[in-house]
Amino acid sequence: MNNSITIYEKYGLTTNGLQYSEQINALVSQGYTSSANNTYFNAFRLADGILIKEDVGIGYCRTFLNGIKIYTLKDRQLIADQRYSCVYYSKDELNWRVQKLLLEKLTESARVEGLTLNIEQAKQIISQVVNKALYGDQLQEFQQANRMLSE
Amino acid sequence: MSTQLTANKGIQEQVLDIETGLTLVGNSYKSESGFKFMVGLRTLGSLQIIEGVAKGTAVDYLCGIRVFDENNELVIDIAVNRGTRYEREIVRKLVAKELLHMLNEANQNNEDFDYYAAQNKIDEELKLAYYRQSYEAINRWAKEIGIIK
Repeated sequence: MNNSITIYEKYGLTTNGLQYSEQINALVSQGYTSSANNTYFNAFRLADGILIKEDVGIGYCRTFLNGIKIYTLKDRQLIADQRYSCVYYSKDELNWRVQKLLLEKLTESARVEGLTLNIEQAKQIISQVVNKALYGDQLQEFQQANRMLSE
Repeated sequence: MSTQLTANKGIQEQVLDIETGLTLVGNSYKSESGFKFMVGLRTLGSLQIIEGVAKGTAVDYLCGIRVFDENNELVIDIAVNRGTRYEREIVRKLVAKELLHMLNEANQNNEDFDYYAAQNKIDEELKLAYYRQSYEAINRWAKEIGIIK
C-alpha cells in the first residue's frame, strides 16, 4: 500500500502505518489501545477533491465515531471539523453527518463570500460525493490520486 | 504541558499544521504517552489568540487558551477542563464568550455600549479569524465540482 500512503505525506497529513481495509473500504491508521482498553484509529476516504478523516474509537461492545475532519486536496485546507460524543459508528451515521457538515460549511462560506448557492442542487451533489467516498472503490481512488500527484 | 502559552514575541518560525488547521509557533513536544503537545496562533485584529493542543490518535484535546494584546499583555486566560476535546468551534465560542464578558465589564458605565451589537461583531470577526481560509477553500472546491456556478 505504499502508493496510497504517499498521498498523505505529500499533503502533510502523515499518519503512521496506513493500510487499506477491505472491510470498511478505507485507509486506516494503526490503532492505539488505551489503558481503559479502548482502541482508537483514523480512517481516510477520498472523493472528488476532498479527503474525509474519521476519528474512531472501539470500546468494549460498541464502535464510536469520535470526530470528522474534511480537507480539500488541492488547497490542503481543513474545511470542516466536528467532534462527537457517544455517537455509534455506522456507514449510515457517517454518511448523513458528513453530508450535513459539508452543507452547513458550504452554506456559511457562500453567505460570507456573497455567493449564490442552490441548496437543493448542493445537497444532491454533496450526496453523490459522500456516497462515492463511502461506497466507491477507495483503493482505486487513492491510486488515481497518487498518479495525478506524481505527474 | 511543557510548552507554555506565551505571546508570540517578534520573529518565530510559524508552521501550518494541516490536520488541525493551526498555525504553530514554537516547538512541539511529544510526550511518553504519545500525545503531541503544540501551541497554535490565530490573529484577531491586534489580538493574538494562543491555543494549546494535545494531539493524539483519533483524539485531540484542548489544553488552554490565552489572548494577548498588541503590547503582549495577557488579556484573557481560559483554563479548560481536563478531557476537553479540541475543535475550532469550541475554541472560537470560548474566546467569544470571554471577550464579550470583558467588554461588558469594561463598559458597565458606558450608555453607548450595545451588548448585542458587540456580540454580533465579535462573532463575525472570530468566524473570519478561525474560518477564512476554510471558507475560501470550500468555495473553490464547490466551484470546481459544479455546486456553485
